[in-house]
This record gives sequence, C-alpha cells and structure tokens, in this order.
Amino acid sequence: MHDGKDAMIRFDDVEFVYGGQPIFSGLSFHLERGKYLVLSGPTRSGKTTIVQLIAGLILPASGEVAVGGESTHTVIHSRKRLREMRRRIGGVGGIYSLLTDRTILENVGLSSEIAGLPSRIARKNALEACAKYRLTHVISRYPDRVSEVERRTALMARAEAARKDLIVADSPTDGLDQQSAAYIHERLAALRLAGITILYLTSGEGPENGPDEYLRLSRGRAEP
Amino acid sequence: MIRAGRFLRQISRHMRREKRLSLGSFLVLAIVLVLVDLFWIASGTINNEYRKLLTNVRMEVFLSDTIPDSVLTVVKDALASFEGVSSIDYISKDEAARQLQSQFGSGILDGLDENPLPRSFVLHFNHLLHLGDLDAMESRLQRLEGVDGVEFGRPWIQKIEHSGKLLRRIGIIVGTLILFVVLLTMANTNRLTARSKSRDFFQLKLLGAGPSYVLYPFLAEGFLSAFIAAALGWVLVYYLADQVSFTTFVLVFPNIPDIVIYSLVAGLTGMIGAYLGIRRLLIS
Repeated sequence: MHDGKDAMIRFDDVEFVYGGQPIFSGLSFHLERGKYLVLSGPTRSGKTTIVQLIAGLILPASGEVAVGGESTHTVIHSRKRLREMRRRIGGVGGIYSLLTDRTILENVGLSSEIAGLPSRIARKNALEACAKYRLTHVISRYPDRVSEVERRTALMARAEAARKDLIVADSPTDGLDQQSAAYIHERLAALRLAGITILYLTSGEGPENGPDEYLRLSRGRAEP
Repeated sequence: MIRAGRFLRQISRHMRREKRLSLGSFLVLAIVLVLVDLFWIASGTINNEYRKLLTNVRMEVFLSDTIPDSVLTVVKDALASFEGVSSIDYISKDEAARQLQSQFGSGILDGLDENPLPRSFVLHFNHLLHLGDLDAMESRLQRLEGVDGVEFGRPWIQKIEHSGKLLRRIGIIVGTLILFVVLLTMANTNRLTARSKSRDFFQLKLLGAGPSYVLYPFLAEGFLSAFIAAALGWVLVYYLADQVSFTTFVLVFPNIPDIVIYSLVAGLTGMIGAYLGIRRLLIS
C-alpha cells in the first residue's frame, strides 16, 4: 500500500472550521502523481475550501495538507517557496480566472512568463496552446469579450503552456452546455494521458472517461 | 531592462483597460497638484513684494544746525560704516526746502524769516532690514554727535511686518490644508485603483507571481502618474500665466530644478500612496 508521502496532493486528517461550523473533520485523501481524481460533493461541502487549502491561501485547523511533498504549513512561512508551490498548480474554474486587463494570448502565456521563461518562448508556447485548444480566433480579445467555454479552455491552455504538474479543476463545466462540457472533459483526459496530475471537484458526477479514482465528500470526509 | 519594459507594458495595459478610472484619477491628481503650484507662486510673489518693500526702506538722519559743514564728511563716513548701508544722499537745507515746496506748493514756507528745515543724510540699504534691526540702528545713530533725529517710517514698517506675519500664518494653514488634500487625494485614487485591480492581483498571487508582477508595477504606476500630473500641472500654470499680465507686481515662479525636485517628490508621494493602497491586498 502506498503511504502517500510522494503523492502530488496529500490531505491527512484535515480539520477545518469556518464560521464556527466544521467543514472537514478528519478529511484524508491522496492524489498520486500523474493520476486523475474526481472529488464530488454537494454545494457547501467544502470543494472550494480544498482548492484554497491546496493553494496555501488558508491553513487547516489541524492535520496536514501537502502539495508536491511539501506541507503547506511549512511552505506558507516562505514567500518564495509558496510562490514556487503555486506555480506548479494550474487552476480551472472556482477561484481561478483570467486577468481582465490581458488578452487571451497574454493570459495563456502568463504562467510561463511568471515561471521565468523569456517572453519570446512564453509567447510561442502560448500560441501553440491556443492553437491546440481552438482559441486562435480569440487570442487578441479580452476575457470579457469571449464565451464562458473559451475562458475555461484558456485556463486549461494556460496550464498546458506552462507545463504545470497539477491541474485543479473546480466545477469546470458548471453552466456549460453538454457539448462544451464534453470538450473540457476530453481535454482533461488528454492532459492525464500526458502525465499531468488532475484533481476534479464537482457537485455532480464528474467525467465518465479519464479519471482513475472517484471520491465523495460526505460529512467532512472523503469516501469512495 | 526587460523588467522595465514589462512594468511599462503592465501600466499601459491597465490604463488602456480602465480608461475612465485612470483618466479620472489622473485629472483629479493634476488639479490638486495645480493648487499646490498656485499656492507656491502666490507665496513666492507675496514674499518677493514683502522683501521689496522692506529693502526699499530709507532712513533719514537729521543733523543739528550746530555742526559746521566741515564736519559733515566725518558724520557721513561714520554713517557709511553701518552694516547694510549701500549709499548715502546728502540733503541740504535748500534741497529740503525745495522738496517740501514741490510736495506742498511754493508758498509753504512763506512768512518764515529763515528756512527751518534741517540738513540730513538719507541712508539706503542693500538688504532687507527688519524692524528690530532698524530700531537698533536708530538708537545707535541717535548717539552720534551732531545727529538731531532719525526717521524711517516706523509705523508703516510695523504694519508691513505685522501683515507679513499674518500672511505667513495664513500660508502655513492653507499650505497644510492643501498638503492634506493632496495626500488624501493620492491615497484615495490609489485605493480606488488598487480596488479595481484586486481581482487581478489575487489571480497573479494564485499563479505564484512575485512582487515584480504585483507590487513593483503598481508602485511604478503610482510614481509615474503623480510625477506626470505634477509636471503637467506646471505646464498648465505656465501657460495660464502667459495669458495674463499683472502691472502692479511680478509673479515669482520657482526655478526649473525646484520644479523637477517637486515633481519627483510628488512621484514619490504617489508611490507611497500606491504602496498604502495595495498593502492590504498584499497581506490578505
């Protein structure tokens, strides 16, 4: 049995309280590198809180959250390490969105630029990713001038352009039609095949094809 | 170099996307800074007029009829040795009479057996003398042999000095108020700008962006907008001053190096305001 020490995401006995109400009481799950996990749960079950815990925006009251083998409790004390940890994560939906003052192309190239790649290479990667995600026709538009599905695929393109290790997709298909949702699922499955770790959070069932594991959030815990 | 280019791109990007907010903030800042410019010019001009009035003070030293003309040179030399005296004019009894008649009419001295006006020396000064200096000089002059009296328009100078003190106090109050308005305006415009960007700042933080993406461009924007607003304010003030002319006084403008320093200080204040505006967002 894998002990989860090398897992990309590790939640060990996490407790989190918000407004006096316990959100998680002993939440534990591991997401191994290169695997695709769907975590489903009803509204207010704490899905976005999980994303915030992974991004190091908040800390658990007890227990441990680790990303890429590093505990957020440790990382949060060093700005540099926190930034490095966040640079590994590609976010789609939920708290992740595009920057309003940048075009789609600039948004897609942003993570690569932040990672320190020269502008020329970041732009080249961004153009390739835009082509792959069928965004070429909107690259010079601003996020408020494109459709919702284009915004979300741009977020996935941004993650792919920057060669992220981990994609956290928080309800990425909410509000999309069936065809657009299927396209997002198809792209996520392709990323999984490319070896990228994926955590998919949803209030529904999640994609049928692609994920390696499904867990359900119930009473503050993750159950199969 | 690359970083500077990126800053400028980020600043122009924000200004392009938030045209109304950027232009509004910039104009408000420029107008407030023009108030500072006008206050500066007014202070300089008033101070210049005040100095001119006090530098033009003349002190008349009346001589006793008992001292012979042969001693006048000795007295004149003694007067010339006083600090600040730039020139001395001698007014004879006849000259004094002529001046009086030219002022009040030729019949002013009619009926008098002899010219009652005393001889005098008129002292001119080469720098500003305050009432205290003039009083001290007067008492020293009074002690000189052959000096009958000294006149320098004490009540008039007293009034000027009193007005000067009053204007200085008003200046400090108005200046403090203007400074307060400037700082408040800068803090508010920066807070508004920071708020308009808070969502993007949060996203940049989530992506692991360092201060070169979030803090530095914002500080650079705060500096640049305040610096340009200050410089443009002066251009506007110079243009307006060129359109009007004053005959009774000359407007005193600060010199160019002072304007550059002022614009840099405005820029730095804008940068500090930007930091205060964004600080809370960086911590949260």
